[in-house]
Formats: sequence, structure tokens, C-alpha cells
Amino acid sequence: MDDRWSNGDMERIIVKTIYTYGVVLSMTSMTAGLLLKFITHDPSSGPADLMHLGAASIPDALMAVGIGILAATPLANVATLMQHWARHRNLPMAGIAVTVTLTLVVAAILDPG
Amino acid sequence: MFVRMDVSVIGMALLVGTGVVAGGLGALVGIGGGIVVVPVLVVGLGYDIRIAVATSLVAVVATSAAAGIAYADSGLTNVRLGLALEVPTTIGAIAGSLVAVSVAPSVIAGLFSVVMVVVSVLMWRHLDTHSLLPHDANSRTMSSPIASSLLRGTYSDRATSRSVVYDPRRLGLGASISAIAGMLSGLLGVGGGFIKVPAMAMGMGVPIKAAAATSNFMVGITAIASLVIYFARGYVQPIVVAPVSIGIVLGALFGSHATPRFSAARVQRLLAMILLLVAIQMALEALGGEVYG
Repeated sequence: MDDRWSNGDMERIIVKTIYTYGVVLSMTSMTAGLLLKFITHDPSSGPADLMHLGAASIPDALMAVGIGILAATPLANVATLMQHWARHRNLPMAGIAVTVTLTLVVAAILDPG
Repeated sequence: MFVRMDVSVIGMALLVGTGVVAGGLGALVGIGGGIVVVPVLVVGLGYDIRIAVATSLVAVVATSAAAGIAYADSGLTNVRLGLALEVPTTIGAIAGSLVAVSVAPSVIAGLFSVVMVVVSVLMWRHLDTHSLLPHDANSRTMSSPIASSLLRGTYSDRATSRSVVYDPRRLGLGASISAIAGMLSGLLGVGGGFIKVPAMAMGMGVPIKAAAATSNFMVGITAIASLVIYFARGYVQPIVVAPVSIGIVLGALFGSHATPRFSAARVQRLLAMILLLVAIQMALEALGGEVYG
């Protein structure tokens, strides 16, 4: 059996690296935003709006960015794994990753919320 | 669309504490932590259900990411199995979301609670020592050589100081149950990890700790689809989400580092107890107890 079919260490490294960066960046951003809230004695915020960050205060924008980074982390994992498997011609797993991405898009569109 | 929200310092501390408990439990047994976050925010702290669910979805992603660091490092997460099962899970979630419009959730919750009681009893009684057996004992029942090699998992179990190699079995069964888990997720707004873990452990022969870690990987991906909607509708409130997420990460980091030191039987019994709690919670909801507010 070809090595490319085995459950490789590279996949674990990819997942761990992306999770680590995602968690560190998002927690740093959210914690900084919360600390600024305390410093400025402003214990309130509006809804997270990544499309209009310029209109938000710096603490609100930092927290919203942190949430956005956290939400993007699992998707970054799927996208990077897809690229990894495609590069190594592991077509079954690359196909699965593409299908997951497509079903997520469809789910987001159809979800009645 | 919600406007600005105020949270006191004590409220902030309670939110962080809620996150620590949810993250720790979520990492230990492979659930997203939503079953802790939603009831506490709604019943305990009086938040709107939609804000609680949106916060819970971010909490699910935070647990998945934080616990996933340690799980990936230890090899417990079977990335390929997780992604393979994520396809039927998300398709089930789409179906569930569409069905949710026309079917009374209380009917589904009632049926689901009965199933959960049965599963929790089975989990409690059937400690899955078989799935901890070495590779050659499990490999006789694998579905096909290609699927086996593609999805084979290996990790070093610190509790028993043994290297565990397993081949997921009954992929069709796992896919079917994942689709049902996804459907329930779409119908009831729950993560679905509490059904995926027993399905993988009992139905597919995946060791319980690997099943918990793989489920943890999956629920983070599943949560994204719904989270997009809540983001767009303005239900994600940073002043609530940020402290819960910070607590979640702290709890999940602790929980994920503690998992390898727990025996498989102990993790399985903890999961059985949590399943029973979820079943009671859903039965109350079905009977009009309005647990979720």
C-alpha cells in the first residue's frame, strides 16, 4: 500500500499548527478587547459585525476580530488539509474535504436560523 | 437585531466560570460544551435564547480548537475519519434545518431523550475494552483494505502505556448515525457530539478517547454553518462571547491534557452521566418544561 494512503503525521502537524495559531490569535485579540473595556470602564458592546469594523470602537473591533479568527480556524484546517491531500494525490481524502466544504456552504445558505 | 448589552464585572466572572466548566467537560468527553453554556446563560443568567445559542456555537468552536491542539499532538484525533463522517453529518444538518420548519421540536426532543437514556445505560454498562485491543484483534472486522488504511488511527495511550492501533469498522453505520446526529443538530440546535462519540466507540470500534477527540474535531466544523447565520443576524455579542470563549479555552486546555491520564472506562462513565443529563433536559423540554427558556 502506498504511503500516501496512510494516516500521516503531517496531518496532525497541520491541524495542531492551525489550531494553535487560531487559538492564540483569537484569545489575544479578545482578551485585549476585554481589558480595554475594563480600562475604559465601558462594560457594554454591540453585535459583532465583521463587515463594519471601522464603525466599532477599538475594544469592540478587537473582540469581533477575535471571534472571527476563531470561527475561521476549523475552515482553515479543512482548506489546508484539502490542499495537502491534493498535493499528495490522495484523491479520496481531497474529495471528502471538498465535499465537506461544499456541504458547509449549502448548510449556511439553507439553515433557517 | 440586538443593540448594545451591558455585563457587570460579576457577570463577566460568571461567564468565564461557565466557559471553564463547559470547556473542561467538552474536552474530556468530546462534546462541544453547548449543553452547559445554553442552560446556564438562559436559565442561570437570563440571556436571550438566541444570544445563548450563538454564544454556545462560538463555545463549540473554541472547545474544538483549544482541545484539538493537545488531541492532535497526542494523535488521538483521527482527522480522516472525522472529515469522512463530517460529510453525512453536514448533509443531515441541512435536512434537519429544513425539517425543523415543519416538525414540532418537542416531538423530536421527546423521542431523542428516550434514545439518549438507552445509549447512556449501554455506555455505562458496556465498557468498551474491545476497542482498546491491539490492531490485529480489530482488523478482522474492517470493512475494506482501502478504507482501513485510509482511516486507520494510531495513538499512544498514556493510561495503559500501550500503543493503540485501530481500524474503524462499520463505516456505513457510522455514516448513518452521523447523519442522524447532524439532523438532530439541525433540528434541536445541539452539537451532536454526544451521539457521535458513542456511535464511534460502540458502533465502529473506535477507542473511546479517540472517539471523543475525533468528535471534538468534527463539532467545531459543524458549528460553523449555523454560526454564520447567527453572525449575520447580530446575535453574536462580543461582551458575552469573549469571556465565555476565554473560559472555554482555559477549561478545554485543562480537559484535553487530563484526558490521556484518565482510564477509558472513567471517560466512558462520565460521558454516560452527561448523556443522561442531556436526556432529562430534552425530556423536560418535550414535556413543556422550557429548560431552554
